[in-house]
Amino acid sequence: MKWCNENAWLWILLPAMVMVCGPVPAHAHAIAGMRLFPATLNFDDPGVADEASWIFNHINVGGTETNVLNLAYAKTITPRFGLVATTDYQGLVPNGMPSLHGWDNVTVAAAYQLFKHDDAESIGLLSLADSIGYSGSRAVGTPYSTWTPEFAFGKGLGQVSANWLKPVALTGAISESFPTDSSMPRTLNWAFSVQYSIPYLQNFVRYVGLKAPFNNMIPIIEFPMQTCLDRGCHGQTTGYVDPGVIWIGHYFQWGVELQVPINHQTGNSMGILFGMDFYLDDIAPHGIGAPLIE
Amino acid sequence: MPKITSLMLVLCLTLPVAPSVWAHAFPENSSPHVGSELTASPKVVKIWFDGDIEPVFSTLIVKNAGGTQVSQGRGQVSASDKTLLETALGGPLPPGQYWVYWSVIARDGHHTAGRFPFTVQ
Repeated sequence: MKWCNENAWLWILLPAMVMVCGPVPAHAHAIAGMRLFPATLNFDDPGVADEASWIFNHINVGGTETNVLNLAYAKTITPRFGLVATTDYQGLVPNGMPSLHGWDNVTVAAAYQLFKHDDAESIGLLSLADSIGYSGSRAVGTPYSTWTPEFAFGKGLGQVSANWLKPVALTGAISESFPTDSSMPRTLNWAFSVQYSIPYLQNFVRYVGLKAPFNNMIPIIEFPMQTCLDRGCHGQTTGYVDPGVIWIGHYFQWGVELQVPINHQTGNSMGILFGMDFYLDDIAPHGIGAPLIE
Repeated sequence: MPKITSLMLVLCLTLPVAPSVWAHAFPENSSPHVGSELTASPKVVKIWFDGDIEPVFSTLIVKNAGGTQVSQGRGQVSASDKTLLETALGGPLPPGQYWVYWSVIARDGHHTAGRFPFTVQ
């Protein structure tokens, strides 16, 4: 705790940091049958993959201008098991107070592909992440670790009878964060997305004549939420509704989303997310993009 | 810690210029179009992919609503265009709905497969 007392601003800004960052994502894209689940910008995808990504986030939370650049790298060890390392660089500019800049804690995660059913376009993943205490800068990182077990899933609606619904897919992730500092609250992180795949529409349902770049776009709405489970914030839920679009290509994807806070506790200002994700398994399928053990 | 983040930063910045090889192959266009309603039977079914595909392992089969194959053979990759998978039909198709089943291996070994319908009126 001494470390934190020396960084009083950290405690003032902690709510903003928690709300903005939430659980650290380990992005990945996944394929189940004819369905490609793109990497979402706010939470983990249900696939184990070889990928590298960056996501930039700008938002004002409670009067604090916040800019976050998240970097992540995912590596498959076997086709069903992978490791992820991620961190982010944060710039926090509170109203009338000194700004804070620095690297957040490094988070490492192990992920296992629990199931993948091609015909049902369904896929699921289990992971365990650890945000390593003291691994970030004194200004932004935390002096304690946070363990986060998670289940992530994806489900395409290609089997429904209504053609207009077939391009729709749902993805989600639910996890609980356990800080090693007992004074910090546990949080339930729950998030889901609704996606409408134009590639799926035109390749498998009905060609409607959309050309590039629209033929590779997936309009999406993400709902990243957090519910505090104990301490002084028990039961309080914060989160965003993030409408946007993701464009998928051969070797990478990019996405942009608006962040709309769901309630006053989350904030009063809208933010923006922009990110790119590089498919290493496609860029270097026989090198860095291949599992270490086939 | 600085070494780790520096390494990640360098990795992310340099990967976009890493030499590209091949990727998962997905359809880019087809004839007839996905979900189209035709007034006359097509003679061939063609699918253009967004990358080169392996001739030996790529297949294209057309079946009628009853599941009977109406195309000839298992399809073939065009000799002049490695992104084109095509198959000839056994004869004029009677009115009805048909399904095109494709399965391809991209040049890097990634497998993709799919199906789509078209209708002959």
